[in-house]
Amino acid sequence: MDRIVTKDDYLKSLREQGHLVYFNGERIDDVASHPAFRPHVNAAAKTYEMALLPEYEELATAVSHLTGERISRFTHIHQSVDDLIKKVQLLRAIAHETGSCFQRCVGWDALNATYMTTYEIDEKHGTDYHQRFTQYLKYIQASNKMVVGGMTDTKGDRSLPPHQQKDPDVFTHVVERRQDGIVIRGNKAHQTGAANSHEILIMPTQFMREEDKDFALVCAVPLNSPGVVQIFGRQTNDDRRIHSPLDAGNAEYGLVGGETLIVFENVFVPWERVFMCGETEFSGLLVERFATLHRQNYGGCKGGVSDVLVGACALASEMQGSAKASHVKEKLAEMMHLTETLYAGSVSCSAMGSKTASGAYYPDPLLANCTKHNVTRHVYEIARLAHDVAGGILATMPSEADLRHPEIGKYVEKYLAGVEGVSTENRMRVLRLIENMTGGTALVESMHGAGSPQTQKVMYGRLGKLDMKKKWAKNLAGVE
Amino acid sequence: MKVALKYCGGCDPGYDRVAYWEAIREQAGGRIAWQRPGDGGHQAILLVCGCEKACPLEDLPQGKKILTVKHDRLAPAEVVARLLGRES
Repeated sequence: MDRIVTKDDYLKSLREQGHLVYFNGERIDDVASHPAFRPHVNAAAKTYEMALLPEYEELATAVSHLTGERISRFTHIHQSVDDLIKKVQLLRAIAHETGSCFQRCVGWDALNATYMTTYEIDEKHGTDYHQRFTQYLKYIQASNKMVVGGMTDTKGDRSLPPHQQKDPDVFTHVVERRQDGIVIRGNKAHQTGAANSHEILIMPTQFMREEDKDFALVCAVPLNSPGVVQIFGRQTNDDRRIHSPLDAGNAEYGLVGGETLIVFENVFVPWERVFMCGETEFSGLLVERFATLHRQNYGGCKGGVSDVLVGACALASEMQGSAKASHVKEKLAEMMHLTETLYAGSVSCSAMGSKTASGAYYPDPLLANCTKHNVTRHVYEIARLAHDVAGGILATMPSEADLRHPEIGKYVEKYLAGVEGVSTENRMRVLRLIENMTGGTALVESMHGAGSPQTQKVMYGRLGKLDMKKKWAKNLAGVE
Repeated sequence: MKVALKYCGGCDPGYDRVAYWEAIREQAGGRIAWQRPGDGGHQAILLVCGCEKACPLEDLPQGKKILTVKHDRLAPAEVVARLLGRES
């Protein structure tokens, strides 16, 4: 398929590519149709669908600075502060439609981070990575393929650098250099949306030293390449989407992104798809840029998801007659305050963005880190308030099968009824949506997605300008 | 009268922009022919925005008769009247 435009195109492209994906001990032949994957596929497909709607095209599309063609914004290189802000706005808008992660931001951030960094590698080393990458980017923009950004290696013994690991494959690395390309081996973990992506853009997982040259690697690999195997992770209550859609809470779009462990077993990559190979001094810069671009997002998507959750809690309280209670109103107000605080962080780091040498724009890294750090806290607090408002029924509610049961269904109908005029089934649907958005996997993603809180704290030490803060304090205290 | 319809991106709209425009279209009936901004030849642009920021306003070409709505408190019939008033 030359270009993916519609949802149908996207589904067809997934069926045609024949990539190797396993779930729960089984080889999955068609991720586009399998019930375990379908919600994630639907969520990613929403990025294609919204680009075709006039009411969203302002955010969902952009004009390529390379070709002048109108493209999906998810393949765009940010050309201004306005583009950075539009990115965050787009994420919030899509989250309103899906109530879950739609996965395409990670590849988008990888494209932008690689674009900026290859330019600077070439400036120093006289290499042609940026030219190669620009060609690759044109291909992605024209084909509208979904790219997953592959950063996190499983890392084995965290106290040891890559070259000292007993099994070096716990970090993705080059095992052979040929005239026509390289052969790589290793893995990438937690790969959001990978099972329903077309390509992976592999990046180093951390700053690499000279002795870890083989691990300082950036390259693009089609996910149907020989030697690429994906193993799909389990999520909280994931069997509900197979057996009882109502109990799933958001059967259409699932929860979080859907992650795989990707194995690279001696995968060949031609040189035109290699964008860093041994330039260790740029590995840390690339990691920091990808992390910043990805952390920029979280107040947008989590803000949008939280909007849906606030709405669900308001509905649940209306359905059970508690909406007018002052404590419920106060909790909903608190949830909205936290949601807008998250969004404000994403907008602010975008507004304070700056131009890199490549011409691409980059968010303020300190503010982007603060935004993601807030997500590790506020999303949990929003979920706690949601549990409070929804009530204990969230944890004890009978199943869809009980509701539909010929003998006991009438009891579920009768005793789970709320205010007059609201069906028990609708009340259960809203409560299940709240459960879906606030339990297990949904929360852990807020903690560790785009980096665990400690990785954000490290950035305060580096970017927090502590010397200036001490100077201001000394001046006021009269300390010489 | 030909009117181009343009939406903002809809990041956090305060009302259902599409439903509001559909109500305006219904009110207008055959008096307004709706088209996309890129089609050209329109006498006015209706810019339907979800909030006061009205992001696309800065990027739209100057000199066109732009009617911007930022909420749905204006009756659709009034929006139609204002658009038709720009024809002359």
